[in-house]
Amino acid sequence: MKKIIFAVPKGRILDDLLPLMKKAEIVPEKEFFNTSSRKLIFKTSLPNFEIIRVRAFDVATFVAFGAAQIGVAGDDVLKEFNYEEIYSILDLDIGKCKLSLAKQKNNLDFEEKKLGNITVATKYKDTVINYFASKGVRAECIKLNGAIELAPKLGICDYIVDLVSTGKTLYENDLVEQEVLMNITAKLITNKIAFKLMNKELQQIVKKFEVAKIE
Amino acid sequence: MENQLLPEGFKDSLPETAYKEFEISAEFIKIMKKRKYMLVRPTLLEFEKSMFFLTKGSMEKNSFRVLDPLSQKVMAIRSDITTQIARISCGALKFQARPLKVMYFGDILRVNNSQLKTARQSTQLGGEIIGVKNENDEIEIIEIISEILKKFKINNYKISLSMPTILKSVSLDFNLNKEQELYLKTCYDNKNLMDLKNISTEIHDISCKLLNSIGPLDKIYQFLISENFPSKTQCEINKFLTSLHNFKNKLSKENFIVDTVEIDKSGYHNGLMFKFYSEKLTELFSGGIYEVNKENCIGFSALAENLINN
Repeated sequence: MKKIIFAVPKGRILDDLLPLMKKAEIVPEKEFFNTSSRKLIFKTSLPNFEIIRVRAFDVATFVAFGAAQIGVAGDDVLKEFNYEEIYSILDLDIGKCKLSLAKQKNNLDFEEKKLGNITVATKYKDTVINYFASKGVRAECIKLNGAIELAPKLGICDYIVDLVSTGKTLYENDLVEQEVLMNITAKLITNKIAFKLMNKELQQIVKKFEVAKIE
Repeated sequence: MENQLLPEGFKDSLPETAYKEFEISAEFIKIMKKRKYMLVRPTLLEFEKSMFFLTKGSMEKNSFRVLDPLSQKVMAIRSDITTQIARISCGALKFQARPLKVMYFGDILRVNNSQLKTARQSTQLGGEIIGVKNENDEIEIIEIISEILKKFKINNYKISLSMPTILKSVSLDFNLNKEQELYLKTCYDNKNLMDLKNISTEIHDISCKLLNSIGPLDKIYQFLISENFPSKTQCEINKFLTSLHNFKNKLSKENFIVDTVEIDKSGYHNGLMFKFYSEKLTELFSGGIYEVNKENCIGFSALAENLINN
């Protein structure tokens, strides 16, 4: 079997993914669970199947370039990068959340303001621009990589677009959800060329996850 | 002196690369000339209307434009030489005997090459047979590319075969409207079977067979022969099977893989499509069957940078 590299995202999705991987009998080496480890590539219980743990936004890039042949990424990341080189093979039904537009509690709804343009703090610049363009609105994005909820509070902008899971972070920062741009789950993705050239090997992995999902 | 930066995606070819680019073009011409292909050198730019006559919209977004001060018309800088060869074949070379075999090489400019490649200027080289007589021309093209790769010492590669017209035939078999067809195309382009149930269970079931038929030539050939498809799809499958049978019998089948339905990004292929991939997951050559002025054609091309880097 040719060597396959599996890119998994750090954080929220990984917490949901690990039990699924266990059911699929893909168990990473012990070092993988050591959070202070500087190691970047990890062996697994499968021969010639290694894992890289990278930032959620980087999974799609590693897979698109073929550096990793298979990976797990949320719809938010896939939509934002929109890589032509990726197949989204299987909905893993984990990491469920929403990409939502939120505003400060005392602010008017975006629709009520009847604005021709909107300033939004987000890390999903392309997704936001395309979403509002489809409504005939020009979105000006302020790119932030974290603590996005702070932006309206500190007067940078009136609106944010970010991932919403329970809504607790919004609530604690006096924000309310106004619109859902998309519902998100994590997908098993593969590099398009790898899926052709290593089809048998990659299909075996996909099958393992299909079975694990049903269990 | 102040640093003079080039625009994003543009770079000078310095001695080592420049020589390699030259050598690749020279070797390519030598091989093609030996096989009786005529060299043509199309213009770097031409009026928009003629540049895009074949592609129905897919190339426009990716081409640079300039305004011709003389005619006051917008001109496009080529982003693919194939379409220019098609124009020449039914223009200046209209009365040349068929099959007409031409080769070309030259620089192209693309607004965006791809998300993975930042270069916006590339050297494209390729060949076309205008007025294809039979399926032996498909074999000839594959043999030429194999010879070129051997010359450049690229020995480990796979040839992927697909039939992009199947998408349209599925749409016709199920009477899909334009919106549904676009949805089907997006799903096929992502090998996304999950969302196909949103159209119908029948389409999902047929698509499962089609999208899962990826693998070695022999295996997929047997699979497609054993399955039944709705009439228009079956017709395209039959054409595809004829080509697969031909490759199976006349060439070493180890290098071939089949990905039955692949979306044609160029927008002009109306039959078999092929792509050569290196072990490094890079596309080396691509090509396929198309039609110009009711003449069947087959062609192939590559970007020199992909051959240098492998």
